[in-house]
Amino acid sequence: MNSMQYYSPNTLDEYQKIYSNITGKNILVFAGGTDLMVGRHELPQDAVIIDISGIAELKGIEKKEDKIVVGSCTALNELLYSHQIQNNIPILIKAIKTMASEQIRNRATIGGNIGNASPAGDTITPLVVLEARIEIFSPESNEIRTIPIEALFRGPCASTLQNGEIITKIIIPLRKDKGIFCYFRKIGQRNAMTITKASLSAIAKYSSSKIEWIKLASGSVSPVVKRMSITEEFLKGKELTTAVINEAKEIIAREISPITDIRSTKAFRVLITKNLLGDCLYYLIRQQNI
Amino acid sequence: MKNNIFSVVGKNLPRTDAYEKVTGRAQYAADISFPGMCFAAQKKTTVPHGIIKNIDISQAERVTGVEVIITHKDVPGNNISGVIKYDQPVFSFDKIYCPADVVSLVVGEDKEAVQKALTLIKIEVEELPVLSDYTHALDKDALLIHPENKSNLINHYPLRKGNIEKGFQESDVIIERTYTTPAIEHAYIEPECITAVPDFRKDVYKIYGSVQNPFTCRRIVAQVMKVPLANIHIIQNELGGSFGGKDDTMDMLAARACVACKKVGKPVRIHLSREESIIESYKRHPYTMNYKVGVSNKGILKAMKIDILADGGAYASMSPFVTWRSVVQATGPYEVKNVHTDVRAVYTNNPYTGAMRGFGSPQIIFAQESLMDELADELHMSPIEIRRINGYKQDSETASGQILSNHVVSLNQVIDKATKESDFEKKYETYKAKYSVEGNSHSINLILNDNQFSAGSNIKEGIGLACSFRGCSLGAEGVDATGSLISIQKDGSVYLISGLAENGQGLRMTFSMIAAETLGISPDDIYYLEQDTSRVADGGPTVASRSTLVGGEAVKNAAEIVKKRIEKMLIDEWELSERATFKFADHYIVHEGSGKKIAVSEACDKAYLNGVNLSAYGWFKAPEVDWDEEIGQGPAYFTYVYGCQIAEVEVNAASGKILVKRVTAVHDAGQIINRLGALGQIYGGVSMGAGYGIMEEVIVKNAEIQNINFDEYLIPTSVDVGEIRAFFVENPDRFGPFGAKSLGEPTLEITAAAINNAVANALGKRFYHLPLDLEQIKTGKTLYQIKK
Repeated sequence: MNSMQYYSPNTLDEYQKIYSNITGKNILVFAGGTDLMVGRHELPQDAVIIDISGIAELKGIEKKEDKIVVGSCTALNELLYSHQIQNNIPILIKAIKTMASEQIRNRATIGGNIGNASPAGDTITPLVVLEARIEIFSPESNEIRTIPIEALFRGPCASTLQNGEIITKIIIPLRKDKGIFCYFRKIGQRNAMTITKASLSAIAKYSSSKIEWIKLASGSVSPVVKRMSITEEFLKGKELTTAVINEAKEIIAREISPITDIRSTKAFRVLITKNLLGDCLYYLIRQQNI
Repeated sequence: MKNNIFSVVGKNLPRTDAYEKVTGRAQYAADISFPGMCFAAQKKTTVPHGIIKNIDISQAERVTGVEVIITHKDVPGNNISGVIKYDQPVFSFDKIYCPADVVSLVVGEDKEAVQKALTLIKIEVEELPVLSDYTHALDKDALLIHPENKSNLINHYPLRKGNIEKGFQESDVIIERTYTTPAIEHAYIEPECITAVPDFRKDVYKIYGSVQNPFTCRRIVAQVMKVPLANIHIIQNELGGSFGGKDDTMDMLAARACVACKKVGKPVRIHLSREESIIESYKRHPYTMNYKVGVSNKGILKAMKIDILADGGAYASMSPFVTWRSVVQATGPYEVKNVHTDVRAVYTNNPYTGAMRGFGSPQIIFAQESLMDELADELHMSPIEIRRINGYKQDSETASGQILSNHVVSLNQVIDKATKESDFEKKYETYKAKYSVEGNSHSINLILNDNQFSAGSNIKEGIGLACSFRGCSLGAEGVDATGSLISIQKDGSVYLISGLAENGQGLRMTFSMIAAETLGISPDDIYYLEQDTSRVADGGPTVASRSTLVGGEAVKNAAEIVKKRIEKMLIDEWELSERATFKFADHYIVHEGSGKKIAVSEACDKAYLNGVNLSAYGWFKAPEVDWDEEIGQGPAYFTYVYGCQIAEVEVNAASGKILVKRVTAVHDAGQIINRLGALGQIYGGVSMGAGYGIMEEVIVKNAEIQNINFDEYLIPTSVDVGEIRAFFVENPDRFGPFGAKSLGEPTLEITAAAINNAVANALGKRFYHLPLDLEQIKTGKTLYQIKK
């Protein structure tokens, strides 16, 4: 009788050994399991599941000069209560606060949220606008490579990780310029335990009544989370008049490609993404006037 | 207040099972285990509708670790079953009617082997077209689900009163609206689990499980097994929630497990996963309701023409009873001289629908209460005024011609209390002044174009009222009687059991309090027995908010019989007159004339030594009710309850999200027995009602449920429903124990309607479809409507 195999390595070395001893199997790596466990009935009986959340070297938050390095198996609540994150990356705090519940945040990890590659992953949109980089370990080559986070996503819940590759670190660059505006808002049906119907992350620099630069990423409205670069380009250097904001809303509506699924409808997602951008830009103006 | 006359009744008491439940000691169906127990997994097809051509179990049978594979061929008795109509196969054999159908069971001690064998069963099905849109089920060329019936109609209830044409002629304002509601999942925390255990006696089976109605379950298992009722013992385990949902599904599972148990000769368990539970269990009926109503300029209702269609899904289940309650209560608690109602339930290939808390009332209350507010707007009246003018008063006549004279008609009392407690009138006018509902409220209101989530001004406040009347217990659905058994030990401790079952609603505590009050003891002196069909007489199903009223009266009756015997013994012992009166309270029996007293325990000991029978069977048969099916007239229920709820909401006009900020709930449930339990009913009922109002919907596409776990079927969390303020108006009923009536379902049925009226008050725009999810508020279409 074939039965499911479960491993929980304590080090990357152990992970590599376990991986190299398994051949031709359906390997599933997880780092918290809060998404995986819901669908555990659907796993094939001969699946090999490897729980990497016990690997100590994949945990922790460290500030290094111009960047913050987060271990992939750091739990969401550790990030939420970290002074480093609170002081340096407030947009991530805003996002994590809206995620799941206290219990799930204790278990779910940032690497798991990213690796799951869901367009509704709430840590992804902030990390995309922050231009985070992802460090990946390959058990086959025993090498580490680093890619921009956007390059990780291939499609809805499909990543470019292959042959047992795992995310080891998330590297978030810190910006030198002061007074950066940040915005995160997600729209879900409930006030807790709610999966995003549509969301928007933004960081921007606004000076002399003009947008110096803005970085935008929308959640749950495209097959993969990506930057809204046409909208960003349009807004760059503009003064935020009502006409500009309205035009930007139309541009972002064309830039996304939402679908109707179990969580929401295309019509709603288009409308809400436009509203989110409007909300973000008006919020930006108000902040400047304070 | 009148509470002073009781020593136990009316108090706030924690439940007898509270400690075990909160500490995890309570044993649910899946917590118990039997030596040699096998697990059974159910084989379903992937086709929602089709002809079964072949069932091949040969490969599956060869899997090591599999004991036996069960199909329809193994059923000793009736393979076609049902709670009302016989139309549901226990094991499908000729046809697949819906995705819930089970073709065979794989049985074995090794769960993995069982799972593997399940994949090896080959079922050949010739697919048939699927009928999923119930609004077309009665079309002339509609596909027939059960062709032998020549129609997809499950049942049709007409109600005719007065002259509907004349009524509309006399009307100054006539409006016509269509309302729809979706299918709803009960969402009990414990998925279904049943274990059938063979007995050393031939053809005797003991069945343990999360069974809502042990006697219904026994009847169905006995029919399927072709054994006498007495051979089947249903033993109910602690139930992790039911809300009307553990009836038919459990009966079917029990029957299948028992068939397997007979064949394998060992205990057999079926334990559903959440996904299986949602796919297989029945739902609350989706309704499409057309209401045409005429009213005079003075606000007097002149005519109501109501046409209701309910999706019964693949099997009749409780549809005939659910929709009957709808026809009785369809006009709401309002006097209308001319009524013309038609309620129909139809077959489709969708998940079948049956009993769920509310039972045909949440749908119609959503329609009728939305309509009353809309009429008030048309007539420039307040929502209270139109209800005052038309609402039931003492001796009012219902749509079915029943005169409400044998109980206190407290509609105005509950409305007054609720409006006062919530400061309704002032808030309603303040919010309304901001965004008045348009003359033709179908128009799109501009405020919904708001796009600033974070600005304070996009939060629109609203307040809404809804009220209801509800017939208590079964009414003319069927036999309405139940019994209870009490046995007092010589030390004064007590065994108690009733024909109705604990479903998590707190029945054991309520019944213990009723017995304790009667006997002058404490509920702690009572040991409530495990529910077992061999211990007590068939008391009908535990449904229709009937337990406290009907079962409670039977408990009181049993306790009174024993009490009389003790009194008689004391009369002899103390040489008192035959007419001596005693007071049983605080563990003592006091002779009111002489002041002579004796501890209850001592009296019981004496009685025991004197050979007095300290055990008794209590019985309560509900007063006669009647219904003329041709014209829908008659005294439908023997008593009624009244309730009013007021919802206060905040609507985020940019996202469409509704926060139910506060609900003020006022219910006349007669005398409250356990105040703490009653409050729990209100908190739970309002929360479920709010879920119905703003987010819950079983999404069915081509007869298949799309949201089969709680990541996608959303129910409210504790942060989605705000404060719930509960109040009781206690008009004692003449029939119930100590004047108690019903509460469980009334608490749920009104909330969604109140929320809908509150949203209209907030936005100046009306909605006609549940749930009021973000998609509907912002784009006019619910998620459910789009998926259809």
